[in-house]
Amino acid sequence: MKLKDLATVIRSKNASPFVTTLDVFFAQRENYEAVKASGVLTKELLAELYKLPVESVLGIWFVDDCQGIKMSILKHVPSDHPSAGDLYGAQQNAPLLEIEVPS
Amino acid sequence: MLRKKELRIFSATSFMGHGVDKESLERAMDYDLDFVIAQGTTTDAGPYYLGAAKPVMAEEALRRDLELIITIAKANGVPFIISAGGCGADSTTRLVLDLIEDICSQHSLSLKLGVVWSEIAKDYLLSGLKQGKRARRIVPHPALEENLSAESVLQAERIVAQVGPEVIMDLWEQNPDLDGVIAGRSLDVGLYAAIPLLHGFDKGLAMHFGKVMEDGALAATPGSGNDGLLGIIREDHFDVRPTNPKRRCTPESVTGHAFYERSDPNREANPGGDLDISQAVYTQLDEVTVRVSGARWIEAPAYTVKLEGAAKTGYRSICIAGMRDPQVVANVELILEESRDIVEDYFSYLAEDSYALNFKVYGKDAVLGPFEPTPYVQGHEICVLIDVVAETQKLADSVCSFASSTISHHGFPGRLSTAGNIAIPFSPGRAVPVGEVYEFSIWHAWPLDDPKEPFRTTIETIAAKGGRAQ
Repeated sequence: MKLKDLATVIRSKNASPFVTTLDVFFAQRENYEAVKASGVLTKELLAELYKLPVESVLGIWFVDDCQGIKMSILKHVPSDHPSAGDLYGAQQNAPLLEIEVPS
Repeated sequence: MLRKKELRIFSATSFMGHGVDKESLERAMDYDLDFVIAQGTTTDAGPYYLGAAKPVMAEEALRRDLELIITIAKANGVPFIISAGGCGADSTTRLVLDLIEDICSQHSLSLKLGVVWSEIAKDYLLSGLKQGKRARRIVPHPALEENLSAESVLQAERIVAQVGPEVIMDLWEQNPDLDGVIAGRSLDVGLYAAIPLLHGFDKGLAMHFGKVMEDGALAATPGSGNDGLLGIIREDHFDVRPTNPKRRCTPESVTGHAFYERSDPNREANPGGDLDISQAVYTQLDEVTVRVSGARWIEAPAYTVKLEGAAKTGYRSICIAGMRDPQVVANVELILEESRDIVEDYFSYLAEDSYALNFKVYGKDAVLGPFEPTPYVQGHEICVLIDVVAETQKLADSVCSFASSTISHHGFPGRLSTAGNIAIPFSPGRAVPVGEVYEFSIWHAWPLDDPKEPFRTTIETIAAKGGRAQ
């Protein structure tokens, strides 16, 4: 299954002009647990998807209380840089959608 | 120190200018409120507002929210704390006071306000740096210098610092008869934590209270950016619930909100320490109320406030260029590459960094750039945004206009549309002047012995007949 088929929210936003934060929420507990247990979400995977060095992945957190996963990455360039194209960082989620979650 | 055992606070909206729900605010007044609080400063909209000293929200929306909060709070004898104006430049704080003055004369109200000004004088920072103060960058991004330099201070167009809760606590303690406080750029959480801290509540609890309350009904379900949230804080817990019967708080809605626009959901750096909510407990108390406890405050070795500074990087000119002809679409990369060479050659007499030319190809990779997983055109129509930032508006317009005409008339193998490669949607079109461009050049933590030191506070009295005095 792909992440987009398991999650109900896959979103991105700035956490400062220098950091993109990616949130994934699940309506079904078992989907959240499945993604968490699969171990597919790693710093290495995020680095590959967003073409970043692994050190630029600031963290991945699983929060059981709200069945949510948060991932934060440094931006290639700050959101106010002339070559940047997403001031609020609200459309940086697409690379996550097709992640294949092993069952 | 004041010692209330329970405080009832209403968070009126997610942001001043996003809208206040009048009925929710009026219903909140039935709860014997101690305070109404709302935040309205941000860096989300980018550095332009701080650089240009302009408010982030439309003036009319800001005025309406101020009017609802101030008239309803005043009529019920409830004091308010509001940060507003967006970027925190002193001119935006003055604008907020002008709007309040206008509201007061419209409604025949008189007010005594405490005002916190958040713009920071360069001389203050320069002399601090000279005395050996070290302000480290807050985010480890290579675009920021590791330690704040005097050059960056001098080059910045404007610098603000985030007002911490201590400033508001002191203002209130010294002036308990205030109708309200108006603050410039503020630590959002601090606005809501200030009064609980003044009454001696636990710091971890008070800061967590602020964190849940700061965006109003965004912590409820269904969430809303223009509705409020009621919070009741007691010795070892706080309860939150919306006053709008259409909404409720659930553990998911409250914890989910802790995710919003933050990099770490468990721990957050604040002035003077970190808020750790990894052990927090959220319980559904009744249909609509969630009880929260268990946050911890981890004291930092030093107190710091966050400095935000914007520097001018130039002036922008843009051209929106549509492409529909299949041959043009198929050759877009070649056309842009060769056009760039022609532009660079034409303007080669200019210093290298006097302008920056960027092409964004919508329909290909404009949004994700270097990590677009499908970096090729799939549709029949695309848009090229020609974006030029240059030393002067005139130069930006010149480069943009030249780039636009070059792209339009550039030849390539198989070209059919020989009268022009692009569709420009309106006039002016080849070069639309956008104005000044800024960047956040300062995003650093400034160490302080006294959290109040850099902030100027004033007491303003606004008369019902209009006019105000300090």
